[in-house]
Amino acid sequence: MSSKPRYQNRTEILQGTLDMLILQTLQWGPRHGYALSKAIRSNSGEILKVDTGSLYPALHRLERKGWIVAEWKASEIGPRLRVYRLTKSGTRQLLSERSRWERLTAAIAGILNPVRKESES
Amino acid sequence: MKFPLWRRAQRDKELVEEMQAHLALAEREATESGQTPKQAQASAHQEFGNVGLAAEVTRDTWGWNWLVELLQDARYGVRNMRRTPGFALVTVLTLALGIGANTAIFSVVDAVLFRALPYRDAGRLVWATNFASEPKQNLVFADEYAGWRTQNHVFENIAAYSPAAEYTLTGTGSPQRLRGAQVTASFLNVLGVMPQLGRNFLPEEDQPTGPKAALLSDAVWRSNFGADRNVVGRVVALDDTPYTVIGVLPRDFEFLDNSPAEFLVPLQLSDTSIQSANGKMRIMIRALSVVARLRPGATVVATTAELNAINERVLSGLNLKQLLGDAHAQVFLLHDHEIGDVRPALLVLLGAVGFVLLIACANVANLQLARAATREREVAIRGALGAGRWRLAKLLLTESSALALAGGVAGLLLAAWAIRLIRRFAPQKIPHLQVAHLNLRVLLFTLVVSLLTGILFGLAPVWAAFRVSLNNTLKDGGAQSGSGTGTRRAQKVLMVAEIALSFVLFIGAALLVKSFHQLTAIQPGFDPHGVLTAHVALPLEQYQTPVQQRTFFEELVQRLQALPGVASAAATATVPLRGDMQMISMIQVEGQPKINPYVANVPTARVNSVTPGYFSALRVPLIAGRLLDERDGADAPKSVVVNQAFVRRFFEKEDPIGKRFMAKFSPGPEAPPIWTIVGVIHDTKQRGLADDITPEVTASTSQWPRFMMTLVLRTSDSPVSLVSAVRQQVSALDKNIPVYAVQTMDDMFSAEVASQRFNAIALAGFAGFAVLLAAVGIYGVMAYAVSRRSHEMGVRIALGAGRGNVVRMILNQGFRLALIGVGLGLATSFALTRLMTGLLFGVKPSDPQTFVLVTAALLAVALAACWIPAHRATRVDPVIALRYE
Repeated sequence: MSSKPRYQNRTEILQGTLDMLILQTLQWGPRHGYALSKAIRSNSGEILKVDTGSLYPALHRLERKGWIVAEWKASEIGPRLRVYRLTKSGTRQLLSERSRWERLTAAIAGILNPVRKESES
Repeated sequence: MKFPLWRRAQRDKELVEEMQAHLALAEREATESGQTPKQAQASAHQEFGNVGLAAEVTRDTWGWNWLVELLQDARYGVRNMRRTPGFALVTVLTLALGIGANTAIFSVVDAVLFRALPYRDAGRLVWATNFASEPKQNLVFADEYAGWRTQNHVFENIAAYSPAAEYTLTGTGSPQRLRGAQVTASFLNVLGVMPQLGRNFLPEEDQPTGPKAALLSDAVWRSNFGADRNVVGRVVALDDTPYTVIGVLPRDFEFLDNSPAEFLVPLQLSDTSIQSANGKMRIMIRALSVVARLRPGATVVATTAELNAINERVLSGLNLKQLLGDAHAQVFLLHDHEIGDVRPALLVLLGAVGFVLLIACANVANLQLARAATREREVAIRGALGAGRWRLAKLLLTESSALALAGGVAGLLLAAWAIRLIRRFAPQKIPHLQVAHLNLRVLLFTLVVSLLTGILFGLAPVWAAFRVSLNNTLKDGGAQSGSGTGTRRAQKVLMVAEIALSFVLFIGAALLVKSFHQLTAIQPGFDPHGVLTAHVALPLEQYQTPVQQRTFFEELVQRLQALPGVASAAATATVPLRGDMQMISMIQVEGQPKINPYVANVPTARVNSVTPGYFSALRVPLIAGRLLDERDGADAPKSVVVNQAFVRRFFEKEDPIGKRFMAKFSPGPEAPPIWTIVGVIHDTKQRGLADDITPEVTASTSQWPRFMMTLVLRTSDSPVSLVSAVRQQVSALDKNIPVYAVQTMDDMFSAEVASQRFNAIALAGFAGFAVLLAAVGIYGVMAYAVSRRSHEMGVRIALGAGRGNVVRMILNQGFRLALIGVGLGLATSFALTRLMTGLLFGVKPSDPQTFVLVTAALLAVALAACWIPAHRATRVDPVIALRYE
């Protein structure tokens, strides 16, 4: 059998950061999936595009972990809307992921823009 | 939160709804930004991407996925089976036979070997004895038992019993023979058994002068006393002695030694059986068996040492060393003692059915491989669509497991039937066989075996699937793609394995059949066909004197002789093949050196007493001299006939006729009488067909009366038709005398060879099935190979190859594989048949004749299985074969 790449997140969003982005977006209030993807896109200045094939698995995964909860809301467009809300443990998770992320970006920035030390020159 | 599996369908609907809402929102926004509805729908879908895929990966996060996939695969597997019902049927049937046989044998092994004995904490129960090797016997003196009881530090409790024997029960309707055992008062306490009604024996009841009490078995209580709860306190007569019923044993009570006891009475044992006064010794020997409960932590080894030490102390001062020979204490776990020697036979059977299942597996794997070739495209397409290897393996294994489970269920039905068959036809001596049934443990075994089987034969197609090349298979575009040499090699390996395994089974079966044949070919020294036997025991209260006993049996034999259909009638103290009750006497031949009775290995002979018609009734040939007859009446000189073994033992070079010897047949103070040898009869197998023949002396009942005798009647028609006539004649003489153990000698003969026959039939059945499977397997592999090479055959024939050439080529290929299989089988057999030594009789485990015959037979079967495909290869039409190119 040929080795064929399995389905992967085809987004520019770094693997592992989507969860954080979702949690962060939900911090401003409950949202449904469509609104979430729009919010991430517009808040990133249309740079980050969330693929639905990544968004919904991520939402359901976060729900299973208990970081967000979902409830059904009626809507004027016909189908009900599944609205996600951040939980207490979700807030905690967000904080820890943010600090991890900030450490990581700082470290990467350090590599990309090294501070030249006198002794080294 | 993990989603419960049962809400999955609802959850699925909700997911669809969630995504529909997403699409609807996107669509609305597109419309609002000025697109037409059609454009809006298109752009929403474009933005969303593959809805099905998104839903699929979302579902992956829910958990339980493995189970859902499993169910999917199983459903697919069942669909697949329905598409090829013939293949499925053959597979399930093959597996059902394999698994069914395993389940049946395992349930027997479970009941006999694995089941705990029905006693409290049975793992601490031991059976102790003193074993002497020459002559072979287990003998515990009452003195030794008393020593063990009072001086040990290893037992929590200890009890003695004497093996179950027959008693006559009177006072409850017609007299009846019941089997009862004598036990010490501690017996039930040792086993941890409580009577279901009434009480246990009291300590004073097993004293030599204690009150006579009896405990009834549940069965006797129900059949003879109508399950009357007031039976406690009732007095019954056992062998004319009054016993008070004190209770009823629990329904599931089992007596020891794999011998049923219908009641228990106290073993009233004095502590000393050896009296020594004025240098003269008097020994009262009773056959005692001892069962005991070990203290926690006590071991069998330590116990053996302690019992030996106690024996030393007890017997010191009594100069018995020479008499006892090499007797020493032996201790066995009760479970081992009860199972006796059936363990090796059962393990061999279990191993044999295991082989059968392996062969069935190999066969089914072959089928699967053949089918895998036709499924290559399916596998390739699945791979191309993104199925991972592991996912594919899971699918194939699920399919094979589903097949195996179906086989397991069918196998269970088969096993339920087989167990009934085994319980009915297996030899009596297999203990606890009747409790064999499909219990939870057996069901679990079947489940595990089925799943393992499914995985085992399922690995073949998985392996084949892993070798499918997507490119080539899909490019070939549907034409018969050449399945890899890998598949063919796998098929050949399986075929060789099948031949090797069935060869081993075939050898085992052949060896057992040969030993059965050897056993039945033994000349018993008499003619058992058409002879009826029945036991009659006179109550000693009414028939005290030898004259009374002699008169009764002489008159009874006369009456029986007069019955129509009776060719000759006689009475004998012991019947051949059942000589377990035989008496032994020391033999002092006149004119030979005087024997010291207090050494081991004193010259002895077994003694028997018969009425004169005995020899003609059993057709025992006369070798020299004359048979016993009316001349040997009560007052005539005491005469005996001896067997050939006696002559060999005592008169190597002399003519035995007219020789005299001193022998004491009955206990008593009087001097031993002198007997004169008047004739020599042919050796007869007294103690079983396989047993050695020992010296024997036969006297006339007139000169040595017995109160317990067996009637033997040679009949001109069916022996069984005479049973009621015999009973009538006995009760016409005395209506209080029961006739029991009525049996034809043919039946005794069958019982004698029952275990050999059972082993032989069972293994022959397994081997037959195995060889059949192997033949089918060989046929399948060769037929497949020929069909794949039909093009090549066409070319060969077109180029002028003759039929003979083609046949020879195919046969050659098959035969080479068969030779490899037989070679492997030979090597395995040499290693494995040695484990069967204990089951064989008169055959060595490496019997050359058997090995040669089986090799030839199996090769012949293999050739025959190759012949059909080879023959078919010659009929390939070259035109058609080449046109398909």
